[in-house]
Amino acid sequence: MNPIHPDTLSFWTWVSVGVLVAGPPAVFVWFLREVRSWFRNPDR
Amino acid sequence: MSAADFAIVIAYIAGILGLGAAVSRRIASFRDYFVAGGRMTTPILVCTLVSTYYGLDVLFGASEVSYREGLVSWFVYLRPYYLAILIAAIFLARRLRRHDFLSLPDIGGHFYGRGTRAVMAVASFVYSLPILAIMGIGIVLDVTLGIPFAWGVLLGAVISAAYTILGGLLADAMTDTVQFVLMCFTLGIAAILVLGRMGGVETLSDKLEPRFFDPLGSYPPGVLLVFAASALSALVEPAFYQRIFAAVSYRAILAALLIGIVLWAAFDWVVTILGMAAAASGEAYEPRYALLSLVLEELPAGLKGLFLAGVLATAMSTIDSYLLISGGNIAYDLYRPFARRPISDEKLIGLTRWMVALSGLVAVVFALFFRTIVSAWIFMSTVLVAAVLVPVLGALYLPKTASAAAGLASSAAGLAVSVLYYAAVHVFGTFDQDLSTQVWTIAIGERSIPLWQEYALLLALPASVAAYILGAMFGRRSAP
Repeated sequence: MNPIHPDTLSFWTWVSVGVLVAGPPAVFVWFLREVRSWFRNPDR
Repeated sequence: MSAADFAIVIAYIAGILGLGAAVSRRIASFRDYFVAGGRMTTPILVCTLVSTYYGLDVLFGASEVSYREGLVSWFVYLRPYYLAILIAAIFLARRLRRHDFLSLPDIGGHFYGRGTRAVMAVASFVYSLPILAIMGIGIVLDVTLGIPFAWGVLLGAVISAAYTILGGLLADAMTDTVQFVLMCFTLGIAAILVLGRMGGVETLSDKLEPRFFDPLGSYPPGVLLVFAASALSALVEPAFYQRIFAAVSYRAILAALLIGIVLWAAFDWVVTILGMAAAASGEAYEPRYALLSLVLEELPAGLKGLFLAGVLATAMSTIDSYLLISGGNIAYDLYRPFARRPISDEKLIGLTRWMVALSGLVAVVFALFFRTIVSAWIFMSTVLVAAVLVPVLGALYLPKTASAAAGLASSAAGLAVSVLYYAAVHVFGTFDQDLSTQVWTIAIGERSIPLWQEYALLLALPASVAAYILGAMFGRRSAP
């Protein structure tokens, strides 16, 4: 297979870093919202 | 390490233990304890899936491969897993949720009887013992805080086991939410700082040989095939199955696995690039600690502690989950079906707690056995895939062939061949320093054939398939 071009390498690296820095906090906030709604309505 | 760094690490550990203890009050039944009552929704499933499945074996193992070989680590060693997870999410999860299972060996028990359940439980136990993650904690604490390896191993195991023993899967998953954010976020921040200091990702191509950028690298084809085949373990991954059974619905687990794939791919890519950055730095690092050493050298005080907390989170989120599974394998899958009298939930929870502690002890004892992290990971996934994959797929997709003989023959043959092959390679072979693996070279005529320990699955899986076919043809139809 052809080697990966440096620009492609750089692009996917920064995309991945973005996913790692922004994704988990967003999922965590989603989780906290569910916990809050569960406390308001525990039977759900 | 400064005082602030220590404070961050201690605050993290105290927070995790407190959270686990608080959750433990909500346990009312074994179902609550082992699969969180089957009430888990997508966000908590994402957190627990991503953080559990990825431990220090990935952080160190994948960066070890990329430090030596480059991008092949992501393309061959890691990418096949996403495909396997996708298949598990779309096809297997839907079928599995038609039944009321709590564990992977439950499938063997339901379709094939107690014998197959027992073999599957043994394979799942071997796979789930968190030896690598515990070993990783020992290394990390040794390298960063100067804590002797054996004490670090013990400390990591005791803390991770403590909150799992108390609160089961719910405590595990709740702590996973924090550990998930820590492990991903700190790796992302570390990458920004390290790559920024190096002058960007583009500079890697000036400093590294072209082979580092070849997606197929320089491994022999047989090893590439084994790396790719070991991804089959994602189809029978006990932690996935436990979370499939713990999910509130099929849609919840499907969404969680799909989001997980994006996060795993990003995590792997960054780990791969940081391993290459370590190689490009020109320092002669010990390959398996290359990422850790590079990042800790580059980060300022304060962030070092945060990154270390992230590394500990990566390990602990794996240790806790797999200790729970291996403890459950002994108490729920091996002891309960063979007990003379039915066991109450209360007794089963108590027994599982003891077995979680025992599993922790066994994992600590084994933590020194394997030479490289990659080879240990491949041995454990070989045992699991060889003993479990064929009977599970047979039960779910060819239920008419699912006789007790087929299940037992297939799982026992897979387990036996993989263990015997590894034993033979270790008894008759030698450790090859260049290849960093155990190799047994046999002579046939004038040709010598190198048998890597990693080739076990190439023998064990066909043996499992053949035994299943024979069992289905000649065995009795009904399960005992």
